[in-house]
Amino acid sequence: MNTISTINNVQLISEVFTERLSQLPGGNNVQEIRRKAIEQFTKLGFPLRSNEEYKYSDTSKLFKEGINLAHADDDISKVDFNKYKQKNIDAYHIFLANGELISTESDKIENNKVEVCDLKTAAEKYDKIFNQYYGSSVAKFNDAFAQLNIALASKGLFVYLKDRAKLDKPLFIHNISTGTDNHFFQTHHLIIAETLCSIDIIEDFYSQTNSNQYILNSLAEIFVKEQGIVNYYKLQNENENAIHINTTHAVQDKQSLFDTNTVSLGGKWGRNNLNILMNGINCESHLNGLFVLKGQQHLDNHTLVDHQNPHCESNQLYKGILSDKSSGVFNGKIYVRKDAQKTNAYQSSKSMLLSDDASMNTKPQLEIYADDVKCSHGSSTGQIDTNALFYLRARGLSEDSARKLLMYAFALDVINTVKIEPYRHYLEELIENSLN
Amino acid sequence: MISINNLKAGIGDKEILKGFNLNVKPGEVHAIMGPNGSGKSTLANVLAGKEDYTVTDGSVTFNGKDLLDMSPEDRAREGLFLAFQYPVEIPGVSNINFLKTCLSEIRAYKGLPPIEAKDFLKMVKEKQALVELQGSLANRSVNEGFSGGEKKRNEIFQMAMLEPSLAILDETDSGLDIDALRIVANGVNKLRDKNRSFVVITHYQRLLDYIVPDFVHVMYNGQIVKSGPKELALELEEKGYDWIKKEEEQVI
Amino acid sequence: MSDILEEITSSEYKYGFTSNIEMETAPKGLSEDIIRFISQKKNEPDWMLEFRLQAFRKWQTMEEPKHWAHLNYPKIDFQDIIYYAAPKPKKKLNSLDEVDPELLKTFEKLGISLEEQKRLSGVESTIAVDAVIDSVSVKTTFKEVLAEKGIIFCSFSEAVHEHPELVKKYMGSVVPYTDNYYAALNSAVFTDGSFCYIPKGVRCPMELSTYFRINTSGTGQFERTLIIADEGGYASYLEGCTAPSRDENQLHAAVVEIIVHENAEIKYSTVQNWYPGDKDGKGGVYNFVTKRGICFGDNSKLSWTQVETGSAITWKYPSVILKGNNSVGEFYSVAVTNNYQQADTGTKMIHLGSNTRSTIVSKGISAGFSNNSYRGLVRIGKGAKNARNFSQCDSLLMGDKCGAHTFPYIEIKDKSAIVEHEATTSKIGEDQLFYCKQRGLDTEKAVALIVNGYCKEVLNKLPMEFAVEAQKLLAVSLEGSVG
Repeated sequence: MNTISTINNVQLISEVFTERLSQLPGGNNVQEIRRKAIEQFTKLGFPLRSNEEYKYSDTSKLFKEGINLAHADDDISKVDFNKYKQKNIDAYHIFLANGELISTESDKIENNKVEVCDLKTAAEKYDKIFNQYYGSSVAKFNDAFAQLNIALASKGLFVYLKDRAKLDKPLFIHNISTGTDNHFFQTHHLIIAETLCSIDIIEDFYSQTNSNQYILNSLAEIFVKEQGIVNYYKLQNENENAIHINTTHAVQDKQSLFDTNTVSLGGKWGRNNLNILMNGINCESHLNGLFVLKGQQHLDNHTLVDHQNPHCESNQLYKGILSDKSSGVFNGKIYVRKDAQKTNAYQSSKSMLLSDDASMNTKPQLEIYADDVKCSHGSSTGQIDTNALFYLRARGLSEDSARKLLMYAFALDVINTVKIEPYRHYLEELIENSLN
Repeated sequence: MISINNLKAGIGDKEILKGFNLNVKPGEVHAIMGPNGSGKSTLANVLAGKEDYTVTDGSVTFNGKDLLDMSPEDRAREGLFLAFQYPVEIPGVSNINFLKTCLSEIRAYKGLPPIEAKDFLKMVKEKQALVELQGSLANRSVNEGFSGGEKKRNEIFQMAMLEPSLAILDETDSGLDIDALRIVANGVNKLRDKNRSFVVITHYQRLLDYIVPDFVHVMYNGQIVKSGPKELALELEEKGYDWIKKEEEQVI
Repeated sequence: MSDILEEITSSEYKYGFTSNIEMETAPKGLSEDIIRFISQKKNEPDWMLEFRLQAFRKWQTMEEPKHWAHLNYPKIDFQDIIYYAAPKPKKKLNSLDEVDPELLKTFEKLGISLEEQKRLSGVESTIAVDAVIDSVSVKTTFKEVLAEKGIIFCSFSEAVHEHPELVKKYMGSVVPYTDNYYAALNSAVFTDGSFCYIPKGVRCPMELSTYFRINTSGTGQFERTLIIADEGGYASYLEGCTAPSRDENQLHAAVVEIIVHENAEIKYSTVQNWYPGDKDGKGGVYNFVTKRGICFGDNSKLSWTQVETGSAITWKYPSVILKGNNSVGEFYSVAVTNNYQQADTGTKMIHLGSNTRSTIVSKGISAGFSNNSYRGLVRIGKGAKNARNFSQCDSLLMGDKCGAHTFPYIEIKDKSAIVEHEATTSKIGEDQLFYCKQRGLDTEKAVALIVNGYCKEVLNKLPMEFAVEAQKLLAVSLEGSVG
């Protein structure tokens, strides 16, 4: 039964695509990329467990109730955007509802070297750049959701930094989803930091209410050109009905730095694909992630660091805390190509299981074709250290607060990598609450 | 024993040894002192044949043969021994096994039959006593999990086992406490004889209280800038290297 | 050690010779008729034929598993293989004198003695051998000595006739014919192999061993081994294999099943040295093997040790199902690939009982143009209380044209589990090589020494005779890999 409805969904999507194609932003070049992407998507279909990359995350059941591709934007006017704004964080706050840029609510950036606009504007105003970059980083990523996103996405943010621009405050992108009844939609960010530009980006994802149910397929393409610096912090804190598939794909040119931190707290079913392509020498990247899951939540973190060039370094730290009937996945792959000598690539994943019904699947992978490299991964799964627990209790803490303290300390490792102080405090608070 | 003439060598484009000269006769002990970065360790590594360094000029004759023309292992087989500043760990390979293999190779090179097992063990026992190395260390993996002092003692133990004609000690005293220093120096002294020469590279004078050299050379900027009897070391200790540096700069 | 190193002079595969033994073979191809032919040749009872046919029918519905393993090879034509080849019997064999002298010579050349004499002094170092050439077991030594203790050690074919109740009870109980493509194929066409039963409370006094040899051109080898240790029993079992050097790719698809009852222990060691192909990647054995054991009873223990140096393709995951409480599973592996060899090997540790423990130590070494992957699963089932696993997977790369990969799968469904996995990839340190050279070793000897040290943890687990063999093999396999 599932298979049939899934096939119907694929067909439906393909029909909607044909209908919408001429309206989608981008020139001939982009249209061609979109066409290829839908072709690829139709071929792949929604991934099943037999797909090695979705071994622990069957997506067929996500779509068995059918999908709703129509816009449900009438309720955007009801959104209280102010509610989502962390006022103590000094940043350019940008609001998107279902991917649509809400200019009236968003801060203006007074800097002629930095452009922030929606995709449609970008496709007209920066047609050359847009046509050159849109979809280019993920074109070869053999993932149904990424391909579908390239094909169908019409909304999302375009961020462009040129002439050695350094944005003075973080760009804080707030995504609010209002969809209901299997509303299935794509958002696509295109972020380009030209040579010697630098920017801090914070992005968070919230649902409008604590029960509206939708399927979000978001994608961010990030290009960090020569000696560029991009810090990208992402928080996923949606309601317990939300389904969210995210793909973040960064392409680094030589001597660039890309740091990312992914915190996942909400949602019913989540998938994070984080791909880093080291496209030049001397690149550096840090990938940090934290997830705290409870109830029936399922989260699948997939990372891929593709070392294509020599003298690059990558460092990954992922941690998870799972309780109730939640299930987590960490699948991290380090790929070191033949020419990528002197690569240093490290990965560590740690998870803590707090309940008998929680489960964790880990698949750390090394695929290495160069010999003069230092690569390692370590993974551990266990429960709270009983010795430490006893130690704290012997010092007078109640078992409950001792537990919380240890969990919090476990999680803090990852949060400490966030360089923007007020945002880090905000995360600390959120995590403390979610551990209660 | 060894004759080094106008040796120039470096890494990549960077010249470190800039026309180095030294003559060591059988049975002599030469100390080479100098400030950090003067090229002391480079000299040791170039003589041992480390591939990272390129020799651009000069010659080295070792027991009548062209040393620079030889592979690192042939230099060792010809009797050149380097006590490393940072001895390397080789996990899973026991000290004993390592030495037995080395000894067999060196003997084979000289056309000698492999050493008998019981002679070998007798030798191990004897030489271990020389550096007060415990029997258990010999059975552990080469340098793995050894303390700094144990590593250095192990180097001298290996030297005793392989019986080289020329031993270069590269900062063997660094990181040693006074007891370990005494043990190492005693080991070296017991191995001194009229046919065996030593080049002792050190930053500090204190090792030379124990291993008394015949000659002291001061190295600066890739060359020997001053040579003298053992008293020169004391003078250096007193005045520090700045004295040498200043003198040199005045010349320039 | 130095003696071993001295032997590294020829990088040729030493076991590549062919023997001129008169063979009887089945026609090429696979069908129900061929299966009936094999069964008839072996004079099998109906239940055995039925098992084969069921497996064959299942196999026909299955697909060659190519999507997940990190291997690349052309499609195998299963109709282009001879499924049965046996030395022509002159008459019924009653003693060693009646074995074809050419055959004896073959095993002698391989260093395997079929004479029942104590090889060194004392009983400890005695090895009982089951010698299998192509499709049949030609001789099992020390059978009578073992029988006195109640130990059954014989060819699989013989067990089908002599101990049908044991074969029926255990065959397919750990690796059912439905398990995977090659297990199904093996179940349909397997020709011989070893059978071993250790009765209650018996400690097997000698090493048991099977030596497999492919000889005939164009044949596949499909052997099946079944080992049962009853309560409190113990045995150490060794397996060795070689094949002639041929330009063709020969298929080897074996099944090994091990059942370990309460308080019993089995140690299973393999030195796999099938012909790896030549330096250009021509020829070599395709080695698709399903090895699995179950720690069925409480306090039972199963330990796999393998040294894999041969085969063009290796696809092999010796596994342990830890069903009994307090049971222990171990996997120690060295896998070396050189030239164009490809290996995808590792283990599965399935924890079901309480307080179960497993240890995985894998050392991969890749050289030449080869690809070497570790693939392993650690699964802690729901309710498997206090399970512990520690895995260490190290890869060593020699040269920049080879690949070293690590694909662990860690699935945990019980909160009381503690599972740790560590993996590293590196090359032989330049400083280690220089250090050895400064002490008088040339590059080849330095590499052999360092590699043997790197593998020490695994080699130490092998029985003495095998450990020496394995060290030599490692050195020979890596000949010329560091320039």
